[in-house]
Amino acid sequence: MVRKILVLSLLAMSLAAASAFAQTAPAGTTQPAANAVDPASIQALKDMGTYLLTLTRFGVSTEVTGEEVLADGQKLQHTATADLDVQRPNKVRVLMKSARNERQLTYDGKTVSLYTPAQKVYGTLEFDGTLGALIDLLEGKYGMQIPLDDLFRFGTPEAPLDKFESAMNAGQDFVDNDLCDHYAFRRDKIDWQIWIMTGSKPLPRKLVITNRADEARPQSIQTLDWNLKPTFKDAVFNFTPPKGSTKIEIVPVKIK
Amino acid sequence: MKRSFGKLLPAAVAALVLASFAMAPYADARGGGGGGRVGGGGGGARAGGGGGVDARTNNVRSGSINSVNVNKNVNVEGGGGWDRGYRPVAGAAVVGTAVAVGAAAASTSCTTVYSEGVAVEQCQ
Repeated sequence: MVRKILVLSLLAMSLAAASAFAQTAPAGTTQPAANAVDPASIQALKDMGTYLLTLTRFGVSTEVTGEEVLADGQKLQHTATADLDVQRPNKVRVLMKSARNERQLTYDGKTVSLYTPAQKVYGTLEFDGTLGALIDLLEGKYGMQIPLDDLFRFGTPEAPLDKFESAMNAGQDFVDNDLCDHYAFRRDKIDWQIWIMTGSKPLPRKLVITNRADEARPQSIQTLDWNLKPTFKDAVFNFTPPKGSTKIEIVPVKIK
Repeated sequence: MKRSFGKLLPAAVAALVLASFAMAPYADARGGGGGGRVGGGGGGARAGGGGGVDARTNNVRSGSINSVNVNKNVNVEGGGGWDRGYRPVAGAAVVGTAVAVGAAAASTSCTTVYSEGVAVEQCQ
C-alpha cells in the first residue's frame, strides 16, 4: 500500500513539475499575449476624431523625426517640418521643409499646385473634391504623401476603429506644457502611440509610429502645434507661379 | 501488491512522455529566433547616382511611417513619406530612370518631372 501511494505521488509530482516548467519559461522566450483592446482607449480616438471634424479653419505645424534602415540594418535619422493652413472642406496650403528639400503644396478647391523653390519648378493638377479625397488621390495615384494626413481621416470611415489587436491607456504625459492622455495601439505591422490633450479640446499633440514590418523597427516621432484661431487670408490657398519658374508634369506612379 | 505496481509503472512512464510533449512548444519557440523580416522593399542601387548623393538614396531597405491610417495603395514599407525630401528608389517607379535634379547624365534625354512629389530628372 505504501509503495502504491509512493508511485502515485511520484506520478503526480512529475505532471505538476512539467506543467510548472511550461508555465515559467524565461521572459522573452515565449510570445506574450497581446494586450486587450481597451474600449475607453478606442472611445478616446472617437472623441478626438469627432472633435477634429468640428474644426473648419485652423493651422497646425509639425516637426517629424523619422528613420530609414539601410540594407545592412543600420538606421539613419532625419528631420523635417511642415506647416498647414486648412479650410475645410477643400482648401489647404502645406509648406514642407527639410535640409534636402523645400516644397509648397496648395489646393484651392479646383487646382492642386506643387512648387519647389530651389529648382523653381511647379506642377498642377485639376481636382474637385474634399481634402480627404485629395489625400487619397495624391497618395494612391501620385505616390505623394501630405503631412499629417491622419488628421483628415480620424473620425471618418478611413480610420477604422475595429481592427486593433491591442489598445491601451498608458497614463498621462506633458507635451510641452500641455497635459495629455497617452494611448498605445497595435494593428497589423504598425504600433503607434498618441498623446491627446486633456480637457475640452482633445487634440493630438504627439504621434509615434513604429514600423514592425522591418526587424529594425524604424520609428517616426511627430509633434503637433495647433492654432485654432488662425489669421491667414484665403489668398494663401491660391498659387501664382513665381516669375522665372517652369511648369513640369506631375507623373503618376506605377502601383506595385 | 506487486501486480498493482506493475500496472502503475507503465502509467507513470506514459505520464512522463505526455509531460515531455507539453514542453515541446516552449522548446520550439525558443529555437525560432527573432521574427523574420517582412517586406522591406527592393532598395536596389539603381537610381540616384553621382557625387554628392548620400547613401540613403540608394541603399535603403525600409523606413519609418508617418500615418497610422495608411492608404492601401501606398508602399508603406520603404518610402514615399513627405519627410524624406527625395525620391526613394524603393518606392513606386516612373517610366525611365529618375535621378535627382542636377545629377542626371548630360548625354541622355532628360525631363524634369514630379515623381512622388519630388522634382526629379526622368531620363530615357
